[in-house]
Amino acid sequence: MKRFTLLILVLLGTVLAQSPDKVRAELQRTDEVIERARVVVEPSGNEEARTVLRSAVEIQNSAWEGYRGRRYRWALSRTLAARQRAWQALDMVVNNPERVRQEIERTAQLMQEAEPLVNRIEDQRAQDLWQMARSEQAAAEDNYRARRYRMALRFTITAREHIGAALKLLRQVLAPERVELELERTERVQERAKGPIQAAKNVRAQEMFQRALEWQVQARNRFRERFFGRALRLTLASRDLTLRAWVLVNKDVSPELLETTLSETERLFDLWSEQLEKEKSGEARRLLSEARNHQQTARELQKAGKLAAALQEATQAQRLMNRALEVLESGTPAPDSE
Amino acid sequence: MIYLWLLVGSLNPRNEIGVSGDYFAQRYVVIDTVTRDTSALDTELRLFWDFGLEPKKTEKMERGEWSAGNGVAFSTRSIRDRLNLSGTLPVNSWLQLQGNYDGELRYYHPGFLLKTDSVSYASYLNNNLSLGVDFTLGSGWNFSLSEGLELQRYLPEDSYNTSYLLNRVRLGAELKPDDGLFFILVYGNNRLLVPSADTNNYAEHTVYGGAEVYTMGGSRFGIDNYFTRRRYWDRFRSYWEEHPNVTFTQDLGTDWALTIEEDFRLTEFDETTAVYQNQAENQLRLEAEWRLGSSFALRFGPQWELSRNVERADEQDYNEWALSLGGEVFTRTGLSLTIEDRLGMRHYIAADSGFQSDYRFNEFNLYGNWQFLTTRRGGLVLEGMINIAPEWHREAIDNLAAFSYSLGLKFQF
Repeated sequence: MKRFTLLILVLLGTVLAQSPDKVRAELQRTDEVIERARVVVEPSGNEEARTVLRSAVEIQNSAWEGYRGRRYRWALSRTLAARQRAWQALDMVVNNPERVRQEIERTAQLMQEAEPLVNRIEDQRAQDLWQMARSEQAAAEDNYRARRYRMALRFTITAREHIGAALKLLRQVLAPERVELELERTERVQERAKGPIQAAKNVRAQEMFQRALEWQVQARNRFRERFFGRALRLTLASRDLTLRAWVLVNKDVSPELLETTLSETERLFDLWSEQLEKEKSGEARRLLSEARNHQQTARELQKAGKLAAALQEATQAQRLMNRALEVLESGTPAPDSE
Repeated sequence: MIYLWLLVGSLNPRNEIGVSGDYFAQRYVVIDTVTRDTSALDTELRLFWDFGLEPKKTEKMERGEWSAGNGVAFSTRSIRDRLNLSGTLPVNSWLQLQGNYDGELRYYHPGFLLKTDSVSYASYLNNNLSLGVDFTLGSGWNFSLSEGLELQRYLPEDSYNTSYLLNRVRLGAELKPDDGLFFILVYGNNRLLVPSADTNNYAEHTVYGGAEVYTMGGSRFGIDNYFTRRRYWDRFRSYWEEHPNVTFTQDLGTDWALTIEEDFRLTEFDETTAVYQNQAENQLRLEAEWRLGSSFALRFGPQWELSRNVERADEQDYNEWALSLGGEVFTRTGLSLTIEDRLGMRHYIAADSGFQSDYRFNEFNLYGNWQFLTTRRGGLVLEGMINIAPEWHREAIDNLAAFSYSLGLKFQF
């Protein structure tokens, strides 16, 4: 057991140890940054920046000593600290504190505008982006106070990017009116697809459509609960599935199936028209008239080669005839048309 | 008593109670004389009850529709109550009236905070009222006009959290000339009034136009554009923006689909300063989707993004490349799972002279929802989300990583 523990510790030590090449590369990178800072800071006349740069050089020298003494981990932490100092010295000369303050203010204004929207639309992704932005902006303010202007600028710009992403999501993707529009659009597509899918008797397409309807119900529920992101995701998935089922059915519509449906309805017209015309109830006559209109449209679409649309019309005509017969049924049972 | 019984019988109540929790952590490193990690942590646990009421649906809702809802939440950070009332009233076959009210009171308290926050929260009262009319002309045309008023009042107000009044007017038209063909055009006019800081007041005009086409050959084409013109008192904050987007999807057989999306945004300020710069951003996305039945889908594809200062090279200009991998599961047993992972790199054009450094990144998002117990009117639902987004910078001192997790359990009845 002890041997095993020792082996684990040795392996961990090997993994965690810093490779000399990597540490050397970091030391050289710091040398580059110090050199760049020296060119800018020395002639600037900014005594405070010069002092910070001198301390960077001292820390870097100690880092090189550590490297030569094979204290790689220590050398790495020193050289990163030296680089931070060199950047800070460069900051003091290059980055105008007033500009950094204005950048922080601009981010704050954007946050002020975004906050009510983030609170109102409960979307987890937007909340995450918002949390990131908040902590980055707080870090920017901390760094500004510590006169680490480069870091302050970097954090406030990163915060702004995250707010921008959250606002894009909330205003353009998850705005309630936009999501509602998408919900309505899915329902319209489903209304139109319902007829052909039910008429085609394709089990797979019907299953897909049924599932699409279930997702749409869930999408409506999520919308009511103000989870707009989930509602949008569900309604788009529902619409996509509906369209796939519709396409599947469209490929399936055979001229024979269409002709059978049309002939079946015409047989019902022949059998029942006379009796329906005599019916006192205006409802039966109205249904018969509507069924005839749909049947006529179906025949026209059939001639134009639009089989799926023709099947939808034919199915509608058949359904209306069945309803007319149900009205008639109050006295006489309707014959089984299947 | 009978009337009361009939009234109760004609209503459809919905309830949802549950517990949920969020954990957020962001870690970055600031190296000074000693190395130290800096973390921003945030946790919240909450208990909630949402109640909703609407009339039972009948085939023809000739007398209109309405719904009412109230949500209460007690969390380790705040107490919230949210009320929603909405309704539509058809006047005749072509005219419909719509109304909606949303109100929320949120009070932040330090009482049960699991950790002291580095950022402060402000309590507020928000009221949102909108009224509108919808016209239907023939079978293909829809017009809408709405007026909305939002009042946000902070309790108390300070220099950062300023109360405001926002007025929104929308005028929209929608045209559906044929199966699978939609056109939309919406004009918006917004005015913000901030009594305690009038430099934040603005007037805004927006125009949204879009079209979508679905074909039986399995292709979908969508194009839209947002135009925004916002004017503040200060010219350097006033801007106009164009944001067009084009998406095309083509089914390749029953199992595959290919999507290409182009998204462009151009922002121009009335007067540019060192802080307010004109900017162009572009995103191009290509995605292949493999559908395994109707329950599973896998997606993958490259993405390219750029950001440029329009007038001159800037230290914030960058190019970004990423590869996106993801999948979706929707099962009949009530499980839905969405996973997305983006692996990429960002290159700043002026990396060596600017304050930004190049980096590689990985963004992982998982969202799951599982209704593991189904009852007649709902069920028990488990919801979870994981988001992990580390950045590895060329300058190791710039490394940044964000993690967030949330988990919720709720009972719907």
